[in-house]
Amino acid sequence: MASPVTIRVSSRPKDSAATVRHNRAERRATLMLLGPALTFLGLLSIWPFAYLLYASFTSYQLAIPIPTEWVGLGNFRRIFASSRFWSSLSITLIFALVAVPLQIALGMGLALLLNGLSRGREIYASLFLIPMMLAPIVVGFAWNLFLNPIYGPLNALLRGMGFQPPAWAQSPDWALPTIVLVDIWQWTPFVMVVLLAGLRSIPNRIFEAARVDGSNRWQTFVHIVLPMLIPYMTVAFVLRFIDSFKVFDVVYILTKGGPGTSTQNLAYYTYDMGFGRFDFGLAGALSIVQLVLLTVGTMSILAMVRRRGRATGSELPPVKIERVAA
Amino acid sequence: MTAFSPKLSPGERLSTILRHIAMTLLLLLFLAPLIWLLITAFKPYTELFISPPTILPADATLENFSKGWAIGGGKGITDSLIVSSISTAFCLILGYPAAYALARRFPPHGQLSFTILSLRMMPPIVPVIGFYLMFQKFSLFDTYSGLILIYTFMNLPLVIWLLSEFLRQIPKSYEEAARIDGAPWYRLFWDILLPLSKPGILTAGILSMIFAWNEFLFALVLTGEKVITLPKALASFFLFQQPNWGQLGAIGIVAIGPLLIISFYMQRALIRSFSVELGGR
Repeated sequence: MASPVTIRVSSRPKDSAATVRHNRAERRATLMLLGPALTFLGLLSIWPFAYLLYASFTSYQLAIPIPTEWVGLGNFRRIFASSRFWSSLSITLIFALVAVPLQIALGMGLALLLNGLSRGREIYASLFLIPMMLAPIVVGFAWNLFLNPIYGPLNALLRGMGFQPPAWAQSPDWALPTIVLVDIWQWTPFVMVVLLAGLRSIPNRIFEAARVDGSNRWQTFVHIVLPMLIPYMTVAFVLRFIDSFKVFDVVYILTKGGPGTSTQNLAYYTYDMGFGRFDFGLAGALSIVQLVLLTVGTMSILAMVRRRGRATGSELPPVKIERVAA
Repeated sequence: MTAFSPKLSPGERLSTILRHIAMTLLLLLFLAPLIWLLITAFKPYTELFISPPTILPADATLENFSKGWAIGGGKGITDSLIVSSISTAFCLILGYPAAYALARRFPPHGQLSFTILSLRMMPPIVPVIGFYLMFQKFSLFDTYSGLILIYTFMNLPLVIWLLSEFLRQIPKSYEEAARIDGAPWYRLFWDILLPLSKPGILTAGILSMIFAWNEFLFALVLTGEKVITLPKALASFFLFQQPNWGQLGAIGIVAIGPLLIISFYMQRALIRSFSVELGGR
């Protein structure tokens, strides 16, 4: 690529040979620099993936000493026939399709609030972002204390106000909303920051032009701000969609998938099959199903975004966080 | 719109003050679960199981911190520190050269950096079965080296990406000047690139530490009695019917304390680490 000046100024006849030699040396250097990291990443992805594939096509049971047999697509058939799979899939999708839109709506509200401040914006944003930094296990634990039906402060407050509060994570009806609530609490600030970056990217003269044309605040928001933020909302949505398949720690600490299977998402179901029952065949097949779902889901969302982008001439913005402060 | 304007009318000033009061209240409400965790850490055992609970501890104590350390918090902190710092060192050693090659010889947002980053998108539950079987095969189960290996794998894509973004901003002219002077590659690296990329290395290193420090699923599945990281230690107490929340609260506070302090310096980088590469391609 960038050939050093020393070679460029060398005498002409030798030039091409030197360049060839130089290019070869460059290529070898690139290989030596990238090699170790790529080998490491490659080995640690291919090796476990080979195990995973192998397990998913066999009757691999760790706890029961039965001979491991090749079962073909048997595990996948078992998965698609089981109601637990479909219920755990729907719970994962609830995170992606209910929690994430709520995060975007609430994040938008917070971003607008912060954007309206002339001072202290960054300090407030920093404080709102605290939950995102924390280990999900500690977050789950903090909510466990906070929502404890007997000794927790929230229910004490609600009882004091004359309500009959639910048992939150321990109640069959409220467990799932509780987990969703914790996810919203932890991740709304992230969405807020992405949208705030979008808001900061809208030039002031656009607002001024709207004001001159006599549009009120609401009209400005609906017709100017919202359309300009759509790419940012898309970015937030895709990122949160991918992350919704990762939700595990909070479920583990708050409900262990229960009561019953009411909060068992795909990740927890896979964990339970693999390390609760040691049915590695089924768990392996479940892992592969998840990977395929996530990949296909993400790719189709991105393809949709690109197609729309080509039609309207807009594209996904690079999320420039620096703009929050500016 | 002006950041500093002495000519605010009294009405405007009042509305600004009201706004800040509203924001502060909203923030307190939002952070209430964490504030409650902090309060709980200072409550003596007798005060934990009262209904309705006392808001501030009537008899605040520091005992939870020493007891929490003794019942497993200390072991958790030690193990978490070992695993996260060594894996971070490996990430930087493997990642820096790769990031350099990526920054200098490949286009930004190219196929290679996308492939590396897509590893980060994978939910940890997907590879964990394969890791477990691999750990059994190579007797890595419940060892420090095993968990360090996995955390290096987990954070390396991010470290490479962050460092390469950083290195792209260092002008090539520095290196070219050094090469004209005939400096060997290790001098180039040691005397020029490394000092220039210190902030980038710091950012990538701290983020890698944080993610290893917070990680739970791999630790839960791939270790047993010997290696007990902090999140695993905390989670294990939930096996008991009535855990001593005060002590757990103290452990939790110690687990998140360093992050709270770091977070104020690191936030933009942290957000970028979650926003990987979707935009701008």
